[in-house]
Amino acid sequence: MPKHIVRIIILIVTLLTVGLSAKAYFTVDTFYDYGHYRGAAVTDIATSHEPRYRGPDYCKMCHIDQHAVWSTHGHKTNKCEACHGPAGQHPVTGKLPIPQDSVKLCTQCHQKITGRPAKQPQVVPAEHAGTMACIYCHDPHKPRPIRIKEVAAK
Amino acid sequence: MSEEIKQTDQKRRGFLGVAAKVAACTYALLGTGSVLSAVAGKKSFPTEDYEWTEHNWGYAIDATKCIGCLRCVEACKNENGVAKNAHHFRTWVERYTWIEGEDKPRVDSQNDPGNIAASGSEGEYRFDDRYKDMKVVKSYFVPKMCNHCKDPSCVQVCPTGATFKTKDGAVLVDKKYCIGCQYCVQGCPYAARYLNEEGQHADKCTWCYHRITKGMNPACVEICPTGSRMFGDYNDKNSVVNKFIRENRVQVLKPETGNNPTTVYIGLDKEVC
Repeated sequence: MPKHIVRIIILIVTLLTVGLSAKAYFTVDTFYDYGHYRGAAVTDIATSHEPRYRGPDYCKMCHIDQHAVWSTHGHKTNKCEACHGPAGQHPVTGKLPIPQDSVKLCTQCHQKITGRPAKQPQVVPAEHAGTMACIYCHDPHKPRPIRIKEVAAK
Repeated sequence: MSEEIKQTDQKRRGFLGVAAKVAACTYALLGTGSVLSAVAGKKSFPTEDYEWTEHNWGYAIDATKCIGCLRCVEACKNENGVAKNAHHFRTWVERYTWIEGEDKPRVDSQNDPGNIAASGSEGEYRFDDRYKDMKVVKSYFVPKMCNHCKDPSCVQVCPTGATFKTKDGAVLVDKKYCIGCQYCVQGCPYAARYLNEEGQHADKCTWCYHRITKGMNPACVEICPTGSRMFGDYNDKNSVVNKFIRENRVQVLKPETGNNPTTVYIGLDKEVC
């Protein structure tokens, strides 16, 4: 074989070896396992952290009474954690805050504002109750019927 | 037929018979082997008790039911540790309002200064009543988020392979591999991505991948009090999304981009995009 051809072949082989070994060295382990990405990333994301919102069944394990009232009344589609915040590891890490400002919390859904569907019960708080807190008449777990007897007694 | 030909014929038959038996035995052995290995080495991915090829997730939004309470936005931030400010959202809600005499709807979201003023801080979310003294023709809320497209432009523009489409339909970001160039942030026609300044990587809705792989709903779906947000498996014909599509005339956002979103909506006008 002529010398110049041999040289070219040697050059090509060297470049290929260097290139391929560089690629093998720099490519992360699980890359290309499932596509043009790091396969291990999917497991990383799936196991990134424990769910913080646990759902009403989780709350029910301890708060049976509240769950029974809530799940049979008007607010049953509004889950525990929407008002009380994410349960997370609450049995281990301590109490969840009980919402204090009921006007602020309730008006999040029930204040009359533009855009809210007509079906959604809405009030103008000042006209509806003056400065009274919502929970004075409405039990958040059982919004209706209102606490007529208790209100009358007060 | 001569004796010689008969003999050759028998030899041939004999050979064919033996060959068939050998082939059958080999096939049976190989078959049993592959079944055995499949049983013994059956692995699921990405976690031990979740196999992604068995699912094809989808999301449905009924905009007529949304009351703009923004519990979903709060739940998303809490669940995924998204910065509690007015600039980073994996999901958000927009209000489209048509005022009498105006051609285009006015749009405001929870990060609008007026709405921040109504909530009292950037970490809390609430819509104000800014249109109360105007003549409103119509107004409604539209929940928005990543559409987890079938042909996602964000994946196409990623130079490093840090963002990808999983086999169960989610579009995810590999934060270890992302270089934070933000091509995907610009490439997404739905503005569903943002830069996580803390980790210097792109970030987005994962459909709460850490929840759905455990059989739970995404946090926003879990918390929605009106059932405006729905999540389910397209592979299961009785799933909530398939039922929703059967029972309604659905649409997707910006179909003209060719991104082929898997998130379907009802209750929108053409101005909503």
